Amino acid sequence: MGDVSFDWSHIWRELPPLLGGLLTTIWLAAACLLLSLAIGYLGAAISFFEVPVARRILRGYVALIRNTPLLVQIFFFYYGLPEIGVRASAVITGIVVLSIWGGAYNVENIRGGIEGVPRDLIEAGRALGLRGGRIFLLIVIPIATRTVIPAMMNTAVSITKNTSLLQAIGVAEFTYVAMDDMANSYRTLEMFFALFVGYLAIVLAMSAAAAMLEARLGRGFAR
Amino acid sequence: MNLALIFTNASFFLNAGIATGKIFLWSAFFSLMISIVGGMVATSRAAIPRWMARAPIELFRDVPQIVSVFFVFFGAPAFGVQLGPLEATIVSLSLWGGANGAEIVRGGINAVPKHQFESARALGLRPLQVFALIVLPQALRPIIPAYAGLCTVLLQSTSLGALIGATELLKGGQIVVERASYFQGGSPGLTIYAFILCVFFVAGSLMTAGTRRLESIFGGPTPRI
Repeated sequence: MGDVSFDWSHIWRELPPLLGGLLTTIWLAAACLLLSLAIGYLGAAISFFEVPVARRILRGYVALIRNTPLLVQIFFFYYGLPEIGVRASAVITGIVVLSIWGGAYNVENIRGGIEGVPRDLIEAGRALGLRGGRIFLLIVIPIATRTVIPAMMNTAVSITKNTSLLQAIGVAEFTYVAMDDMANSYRTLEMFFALFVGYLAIVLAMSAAAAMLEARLGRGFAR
Repeated sequence: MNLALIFTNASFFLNAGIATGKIFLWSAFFSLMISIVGGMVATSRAAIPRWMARAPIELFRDVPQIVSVFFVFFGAPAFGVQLGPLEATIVSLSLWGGANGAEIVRGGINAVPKHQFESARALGLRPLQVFALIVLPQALRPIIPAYAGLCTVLLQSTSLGALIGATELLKGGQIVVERASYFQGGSPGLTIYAFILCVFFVAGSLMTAGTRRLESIFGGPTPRI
């Protein structure tokens, strides 16, 4: 196995399934990202309003998710939960676990952003006669969101990269497709090349989008 | 729930836990070595070595960890390097940790104000002395807590070894589940995977607490300007 040969035509031939896998990765990531943001804002609201019991649960949830490996979480949900009757397809399980995982990080991100919102803005809002809910929605969230865009983008990139772990439960995303082809064709280098290029393209595109978003949201606030 | 299964397989889990510890310690050690060298080269003033360090750093940071694990395990044989599952996990985690650590080191070095370099040079220190006596002590302050945080991630990443057959905790759990469902019927997945989650949670929480402590000792990352 010493000879290293590289067959471009193999990548060319396998391009349709590879692109299909890449597309699956992208929509999986997009779905998980949206859900994790929803969890993030919900969690941020819970900690902002200091909801009595939910606040404790939220803290436990964040600590549990952040201190355990995502792969073990995936296994727990996919191979463990059916035992108590919670059963779902690999794709659904994957989306749920990854959203829960990303959600924990986004709760922390947004909470950090909210802590950075100056107190006097909240007091000013109250002085204008706004209630708690409106202060949160109209003052705290817009300001906090702008400051946490970089952290959120990091989480988004992590979520995207971590969709690759779903290949372990048989979700046919990008890594799965490439590894599957490798098992049949033994064209390892070609497939790894495709994987590197594909993921690099996604991540670099996301970084560029993050930079643009930051510039757009920072407009008028730059000093 | 089937807690007895954990006790009957206690020694098996212990061995799996030792394998996890081994993967973690070795890859944390090699990551540190790669980080320091990589971070130094990535901040060097010579353009060619700088880019030669930064390109692989960027590559390993942008590609999913599991892809780099697969690459080392399945791809390296094409170059004539055959590694066992445990070694392949250690190597790939070291490369990944090294790439991320190098970024941390680079950030730490870049955070040292430029006038520190200049004043050191003005005092007649040689380049190596400037680095060892002036830059490194100041750069370490933000580096240490950040590297501890990286180690927490590294500990979690050891579970990736399961996917290439390294018998660490997750793979050990998988084996126990398969064995139990084969010989005793039923599927004890819930208990076993919950147990593994607990083990990682305890270890991870301790490390996070340690990181917090380091952060308070070293005053956290230097404020961004």
